[in-house]
Amino acid sequence: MTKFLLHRLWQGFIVVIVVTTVVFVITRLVGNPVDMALPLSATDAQRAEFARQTGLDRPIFEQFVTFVGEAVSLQFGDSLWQRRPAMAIFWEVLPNTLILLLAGIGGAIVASLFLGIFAAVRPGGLLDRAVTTVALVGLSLPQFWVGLMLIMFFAVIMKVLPTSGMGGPAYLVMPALTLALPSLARLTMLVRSSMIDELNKQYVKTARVKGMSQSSILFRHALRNILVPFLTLCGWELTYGLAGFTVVVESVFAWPGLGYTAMQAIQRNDPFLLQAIVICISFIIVIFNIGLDVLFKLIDPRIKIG
Amino acid sequence: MIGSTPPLLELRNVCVNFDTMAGTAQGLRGVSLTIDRGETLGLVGESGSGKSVTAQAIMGLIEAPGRIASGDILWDGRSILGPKGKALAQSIRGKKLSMVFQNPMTSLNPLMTIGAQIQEVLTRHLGVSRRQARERAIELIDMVGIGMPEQRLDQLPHEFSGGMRQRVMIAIAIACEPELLVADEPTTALDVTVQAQILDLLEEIQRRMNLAVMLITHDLGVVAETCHRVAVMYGGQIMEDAPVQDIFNKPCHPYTRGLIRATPRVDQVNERLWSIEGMPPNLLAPPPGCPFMPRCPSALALCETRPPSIQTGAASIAACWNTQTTYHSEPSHVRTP
Repeated sequence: MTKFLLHRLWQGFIVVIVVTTVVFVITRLVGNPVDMALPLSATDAQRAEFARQTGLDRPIFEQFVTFVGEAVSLQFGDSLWQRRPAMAIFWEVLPNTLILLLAGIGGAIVASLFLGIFAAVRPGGLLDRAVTTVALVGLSLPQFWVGLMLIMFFAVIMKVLPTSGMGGPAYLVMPALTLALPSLARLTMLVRSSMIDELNKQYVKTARVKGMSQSSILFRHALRNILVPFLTLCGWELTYGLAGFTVVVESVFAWPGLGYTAMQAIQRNDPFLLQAIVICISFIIVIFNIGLDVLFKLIDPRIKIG
Repeated sequence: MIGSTPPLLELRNVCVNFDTMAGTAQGLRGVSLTIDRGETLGLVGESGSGKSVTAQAIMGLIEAPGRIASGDILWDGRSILGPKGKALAQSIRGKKLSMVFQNPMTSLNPLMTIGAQIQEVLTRHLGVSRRQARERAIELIDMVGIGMPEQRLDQLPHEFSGGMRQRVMIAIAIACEPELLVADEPTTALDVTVQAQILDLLEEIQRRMNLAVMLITHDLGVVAETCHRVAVMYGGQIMEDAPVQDIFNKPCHPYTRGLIRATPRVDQVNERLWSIEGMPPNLLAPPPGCPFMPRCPSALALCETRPPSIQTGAASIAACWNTQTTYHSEPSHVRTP
């Protein structure tokens, strides 16, 4: 187990190095950060002064070493937009995104288990067909559109929910729902199909001739056997939620999380804030995936590690 | 055959249909059988003859697209089918009536320890505590001949060989001291040496627990050694049902005779193996008369209509129009199915 952990940490370290390098190349070499940060009207003297202040006038290799040092110590300089440390902003908005992820993807994970399992009990039955249809619709609708439709219906017409921003629990409903819908659809389809597979296996027949109850067969016997593919997809949903879906959803609902802040950083030409967010998210994802691998090993001891 | 107490298990004219895209396949076409306490019944026949479907019907494993279309299954004289029999079926399944499957490699849950899989039957049916269940599980593992029972209990199925897994399956099946064990080709997936061990184990347990066993097999040698009575199946019907000596010494049904003749023998060298001509009937459109008629060497015109079960001995029946001409000269008692 220790060997396995060290191995995964080493792999994670390489991933982080690659991400850091790519971010560095994109922000420093593809386009000039000085031009991005300063208005077009800035004089050459102002540009030189800015480059000197931010260290952008140094040789590129020296910049890279400084940058890696900053990344390792989680110091990314000040945000140009808010004129305060980028990490302070990151820590401030991270909880908002985590709340949204937990409510949206977390809710989808729990709901998909029940929907998928109950649909799988009678494949082709009424519940199964209803669940499959809804899941298909959920998969087909783009999130930004669903978000706008929800705003129109619940906020504009019904006037029961606030349109956007962050406040009480009511503000969470629509963003979480929008975030959850495609994940719920994907997860439910996976639970349903892998559960149908499991329920046709011989060991389920054994459990039936042992006289075990239906709930024991579903939740004690079969569920454990679908956990590895299920948690793999859960991990994918959470990762993509953190690094992708929330950007759209937070932008639609002006939810002050990481995705919204990243969008703002792009729009306001703030490379320092953007690189802080991108690199920190990649750290989180690497650590999260190592945790998942450990969990898989605990669920299924047959999984070979290393 | 009909005493004052009802038989342990009785199948009365059971029909099982499978609704497929191509039409309704008739898996069982009126199967009647009885098993008495402590008796070993061999159920033989070629693949597709309905042996496993019979076992599944008894165990309540027939699921859509299959259904028990008609007939009844009685446990100790009471039906275990339909809504009325549901409570009884649930109370005996896994407790008084248990089953061992053909393939031990896939019959155990790969992610549950052997101990948990044995203990859950005990806690469910006998209402014992976890600790008692564990102690009993150790006893059972020991009884089926697995060494170091305490350590083995915490292992997962992939740490066991096929033969060992079948022993675990037997331990699960006998955990609640059942009255009837259905063994559906319990040795087909195992090596020959392991086969003999498993059959010995089953025989020993059967004697020790006075268990009734329904042994489904292709292997007539196994039947000759272990069974008291044999039912021969073909095309979803019972062709012949007789004590084991009668089946081998004076088989009444032409199919039984063919089956015995087709068995390879050690004393016949340099000879081509004999086989019954033709193919088994299509269960989507089975012949209206005797299902064996198209392949039968002694078929009569009468065989176009379905033969009744004819009493061919004190405890023997055969479903054939042509039995008395070969073995019984006096007119026999005729039972309609």
